[in-house]
This record gives sequence, C-alpha cells and structure tokens, in this order.
Amino acid sequence: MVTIKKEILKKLEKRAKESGSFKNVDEYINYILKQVVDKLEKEKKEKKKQKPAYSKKDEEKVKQRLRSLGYLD
Amino acid sequence: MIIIFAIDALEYEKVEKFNCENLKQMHYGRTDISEFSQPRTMVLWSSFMTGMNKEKEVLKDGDKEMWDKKWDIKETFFSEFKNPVVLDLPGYSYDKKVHDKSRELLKKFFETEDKKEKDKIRKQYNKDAFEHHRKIKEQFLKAIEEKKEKHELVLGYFSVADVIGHLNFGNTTIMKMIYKELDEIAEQISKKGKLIILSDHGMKALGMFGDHSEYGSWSTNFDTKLKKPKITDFYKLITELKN
Repeated sequence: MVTIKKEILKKLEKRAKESGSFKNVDEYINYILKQVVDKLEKEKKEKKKQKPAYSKKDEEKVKQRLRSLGYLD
Repeated sequence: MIIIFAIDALEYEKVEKFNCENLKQMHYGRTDISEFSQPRTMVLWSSFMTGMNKEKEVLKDGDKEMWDKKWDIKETFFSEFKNPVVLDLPGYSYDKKVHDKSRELLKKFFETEDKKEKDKIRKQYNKDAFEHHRKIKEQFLKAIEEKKEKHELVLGYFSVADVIGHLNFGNTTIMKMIYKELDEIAEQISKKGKLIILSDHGMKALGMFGDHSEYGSWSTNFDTKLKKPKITDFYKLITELKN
C-alpha cells in the first residue's frame, strides 16, 4: 500500500487521461516509476564505472578537516 | 509568532540547483562568516543566539569539550520572548547523546579499512540521522501548531543536511531527497508566522564527502533590508521583530 498526496494524484490522473495511452492512473504511475528506477539504476552503473565511491585521498582530507572542526578526536 | 528554521549546512548552491522554492522565501541570500577562523557549527550558532562573536570563548574549552557549552537564556535573544521553544540547538538545547553517537560512528567509519564494514557503518549513521530528524520535525511542527499566544518564538535546529552530507555529499540522490524534505517543511511553516530560515555554513563536495563551505545562507518571508548579513546581525533583527 502506497500513499500518494492528493494534489499529486490529481495531476497524475489528469496527465494519464490527457495522454490517452493508459488504461488507468495505476498503469500510468507504474510507467513513471519504472522510468525513474531505470534511470537511477543506469546512473548508478555509470557512476560505478567512473571512479571508486570513496577514495583514500579524499578520506584523508576530510578526516583532517573533521578533526579541525571538532567532529573527530 | 516568530519561527526560526535553523538548518545546519544548508548549501545555497544546492537550494538553487534542486529548485527548493520554499527555502527561498520573499528575501534570501548568503551570509558573511568571514570573521570566523573556520566554519565551526558550535561557534556559529553560539554567535547567532548571543549576537556576539563567541569564537574565542567557545574554543577555549577545547575542540571536544566545546560541544558541552550551554549558554544561559539571559545571554541569548530567547529571553526577550514569552515561552520560547528552542529545539536541539548547539550551545543551548543540544541533544548531546544523539550527536555523540553520530560522531562515534563517524570515527568508526574512518578507522576501519574494510569496505563492507564502512558501508554498514554509513548506513547506520544515515539511519540515525534521519530518525533524529523525524523526531525534531515532529516536535517543531507541533510547537508551531500550538495556540498562537503560547509561544512567541519557535526555533527548530535540523542537523540532517550536515550529518548526512559529511559522508554522502557526492551522492546527489540522497542530498536531493534531504533538500526536498527540508523544502517541504519550509512550505508547511511559511504561513504560520514570521519565518527566518538560516544556516550556519554551507557545504562543498570533497569527492563523495562533504566539507563546510565558507558562507551560510538566510531567507525571510517578510520584508527586510538584509543583503549579506553576518550571523550576529540576526540578534537585532529578531528582537526588533517582537516590537
């Protein structure tokens, strides 16, 4: 069970109707969510290819800075 | 009622990038914190509530001990208001236990070399930060909704953008979600009184991590002559709002 804000649901219903390509708003919401998830997964894969998530060099820099800001001993 | 939405590390550039319309009220801009040697959270909020640069006084106790600092209400502008509610503000009503736990996890994250362990710690660290955020949000909204004559001033301090940002600032999905959440809170409270949204400093990326930037940001839902104010300028502005 997912709760959607009333104002967003109204907009989705309107858009689903206007497009004429969907049986109902449920189908339209599923379509949108699939697009979003596919995009996010694609972005995640591309990011992984680009560079390691946490580099040792950045980690050392941030550690020093967090110490001087009083976050780390 | 005067409402202060105090957001640690709210980054002006991200507010623009993520198009957070409610975090940009009638007037908004950056603050000037160049008088401070470093953008330290405890120093900046202490200076904000007392209207004076408190860097020397806060730092004299030491980097670790400064988090224990508590200003007396008489030294702050809160004393000018009837029944003020001040939630989780560093140097005043800070929930040290929660923030100590967060720093303990931060320490563990940097101590371990094991990637899986790092991921596990980061997840717990993020989870704790969101849980604490939800708790403060609930108390903040409840105080604002109470009878108008009950509290003349309500301040809620939100640390989620800072805490999560330190380990995740390079993760746009997480940061966007946080900014949208903060923007929704601003939308909910913007018509409930005179609103000031203020951050102590912003945040800049350091790879996947986040570092404090050298300016803060402000916004008000009422007319003001502020341009690039110092964080200490808000003392006068807020006390004058009462009159």
